[in-house]
Amino acid sequence: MINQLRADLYAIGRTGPVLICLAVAVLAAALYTVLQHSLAAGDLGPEAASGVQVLSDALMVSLMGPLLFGALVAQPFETKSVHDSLLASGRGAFVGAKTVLTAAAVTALSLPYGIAVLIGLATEQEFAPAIPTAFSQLLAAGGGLDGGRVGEILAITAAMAVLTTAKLSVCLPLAFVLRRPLVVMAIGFVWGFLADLIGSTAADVEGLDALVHLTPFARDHVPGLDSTGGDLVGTLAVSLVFIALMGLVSWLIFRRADVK
Amino acid sequence: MSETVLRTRDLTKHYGDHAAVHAMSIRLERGRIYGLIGRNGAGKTTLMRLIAGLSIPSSGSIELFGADAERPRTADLARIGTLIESPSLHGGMTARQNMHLHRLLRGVPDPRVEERLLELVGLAGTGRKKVRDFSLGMRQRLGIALALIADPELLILDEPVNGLDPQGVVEVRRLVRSLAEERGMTVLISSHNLPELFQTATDYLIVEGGELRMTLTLEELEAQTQQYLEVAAADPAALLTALEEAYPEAEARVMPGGTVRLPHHADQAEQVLRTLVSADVWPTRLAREGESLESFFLSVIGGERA
Repeated sequence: MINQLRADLYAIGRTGPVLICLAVAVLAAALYTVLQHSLAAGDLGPEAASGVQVLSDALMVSLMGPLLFGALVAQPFETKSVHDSLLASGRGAFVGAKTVLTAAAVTALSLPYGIAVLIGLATEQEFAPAIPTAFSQLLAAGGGLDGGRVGEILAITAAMAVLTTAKLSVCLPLAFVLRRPLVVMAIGFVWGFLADLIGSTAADVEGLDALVHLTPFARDHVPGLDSTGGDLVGTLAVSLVFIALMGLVSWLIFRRADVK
Repeated sequence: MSETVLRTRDLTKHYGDHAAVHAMSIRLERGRIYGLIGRNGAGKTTLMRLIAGLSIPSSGSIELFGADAERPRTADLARIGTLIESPSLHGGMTARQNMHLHRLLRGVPDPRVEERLLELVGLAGTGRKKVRDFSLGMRQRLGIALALIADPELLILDEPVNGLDPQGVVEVRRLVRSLAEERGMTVLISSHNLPELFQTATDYLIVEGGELRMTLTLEELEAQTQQYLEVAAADPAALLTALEEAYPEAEARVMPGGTVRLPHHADQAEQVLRTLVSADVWPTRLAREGESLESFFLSVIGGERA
């Protein structure tokens, strides 16, 4: 598994998708923060908010997350590099490495938004959320930055990033089944928007609410300003267990699957 | 005693109702080159996939390096190198970067292997040229280098000379032979190019309809496809004496009915005729006979003879 990870990291450093997605996330987070300030300062009218939303973490990660699952998991089936991976370390190690790598890469997409919040707060300017995501609300809440506040924002950022990754980790088994990057990306993108809706609908059904609470789709797992340390740990735990579960499902799917 | 590298027992792979490989039992020995011959859809690639652990057998077993199992273990698969269908290449990387990637993947510690293998396949001078700009032949050669990066004991090559120019074909042939002779590597190689396979392999597996039709060594195949002169005369004894005196090294064989087969002289009919006439032996029949490689292959798989 270590060899697979080393090889994947080497490939990531020399091929486009992951680095491009990370660069886009950094640019989008920076631009989103600036535009939220413009909304608050009145440089942009309220009617521009819907346009600014496009740059939010909610949309960008939902768009680029499935792309990364497609590029990192499904692409090796198209290039046939999976052949050597299976010879080198076997199916379990391949699934394990892909689970760790995709989780890390998709989580990294959210981190620029957390850093942008820190920078935004450090400027002590006003910000207006274009869409009420956790990052936007942190930014809009304002307040100075001290050690405790920085720690709080970093903890919320980490929890939010891992939670978003967990929601999208459904793309992992999907990539092992479909093995086509574009199809994974398309389905994953739609899923990114439907997941919360399905989760909140299911949570309203009596008997299902307890089950939904054990998944990252429960609304009360979304971290915010009023989240306690226990809430964040709970969010992280549910998210990591769910990602591991998706890894297990992927292995069950792939362990006896034919590879073209 | 020769060492068995691979043994399959009643290996079967079904896709729905279709048996791509049916009850195939083969044995590969160390240091030999096995030519896998069969038409499109005969089951060659499926067999290779099963051995490489890419497909799961429907039934039967695969014994790899002495370990018998339903399918090969990961530790044993790591001793295999493959080039199945098309090489696994990253088009946006150079040849050297592809080599480096696969070296990391295989956990090979010595970086010098990258340059050594690129030199071996004639790609050492490609520098910063991206693989997506390579010709088909260059890609195939890089694919072979990648298959060799972990110094495999069993090398599986599916149509490795596809897209290669004549010089490339000869180079691959030399490479495969040297790997078997100098390193004791076992090679399983498939090709549609029968004459090429004839010059490369030491053993042959002929498959058709997912079944193994015949296994034979190079010597056996040569015997089956050898061209010879078939000579008959009124006095067979005088005919044989005249031929043995004139061609003592020719290993003339008397066939039922008194005709004599003269191997190694299939294209010397006129000279043989002069020899017999000068010995006062008058042939009643003098003909070049024997099966071509293609004709023999077709006769084994049940197709029409050429």
